[in-house]
Amino acid sequence: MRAKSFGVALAALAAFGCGTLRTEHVTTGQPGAPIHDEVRVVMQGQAPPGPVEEVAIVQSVGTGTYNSFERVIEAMRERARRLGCDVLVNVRVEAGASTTSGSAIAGRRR
Amino acid sequence: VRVTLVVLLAIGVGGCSAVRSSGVATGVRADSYSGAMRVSATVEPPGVAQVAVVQASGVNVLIAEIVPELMARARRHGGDFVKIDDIRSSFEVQARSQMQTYGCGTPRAPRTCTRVVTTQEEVMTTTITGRAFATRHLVAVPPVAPPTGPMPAPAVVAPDGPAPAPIIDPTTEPAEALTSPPSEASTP
Repeated sequence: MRAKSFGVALAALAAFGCGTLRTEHVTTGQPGAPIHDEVRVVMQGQAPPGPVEEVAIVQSVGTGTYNSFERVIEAMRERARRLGCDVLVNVRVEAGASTTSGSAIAGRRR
Repeated sequence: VRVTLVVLLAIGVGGCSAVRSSGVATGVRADSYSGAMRVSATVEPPGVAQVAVVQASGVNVLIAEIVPELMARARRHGGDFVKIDDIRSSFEVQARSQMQTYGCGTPRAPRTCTRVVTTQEEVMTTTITGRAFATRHLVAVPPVAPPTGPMPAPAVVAPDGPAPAPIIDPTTEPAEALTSPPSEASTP
């Protein structure tokens, strides 16, 4: 069903020149209350800023006008805030011709 | 011709939504498991048996649909804990055939015709690779051979604090990886 929606979204993108931004997460720890603070981004290969308590795995995919590194990172940051997380570690972003996908581990610094 | 069109339509509509998984047993054999399961991307349970390397991938779907398939594959290998090692997406432009209908008659004799249109479309494949562990099966520690030479002095280990808590604690840890509510899709 989601794949069908994804296909419809892509068709809409082709027809109207806009885009979609989808963000999902899988909870692997204990989410907290939403926060409004800045979420630190630590790219894959970088050392995390001290001990981090894992809360969720996050993925965001942008197409069309959302097909950018910034949009995808910001979407993952927003999802992290909702989960009460203040850091995204192991952030990885991959770009296609019309799609950008990012994944990360959302956590809390101890 | 009509059958071909229906098949093409079916492929076009639903042919690229598969989530599939695979796994390779890597040692300890365990019966398939159907209980609570835990997923982590940062920690792996110490001192327990790794039962398989598992992988799941999906086309044009995100992790909330792929991780459950990964867990199901781990369960089949007897795993109750999955350590996710890698998440990556790849992109490929594919030709996609769609059946279209259009009016092709006259005002007096309206008709509906069909045609197959091929379009180029970028598809995204997300692949998650991990390892399945059976935390209920502790790895047997091999017996230590008796020393042949003089006995070494015992190492003195001063504990710095309380022993670390076990990673798996069903009373305090979430027993099941929870998938997010339906994803948000926004279209400006």
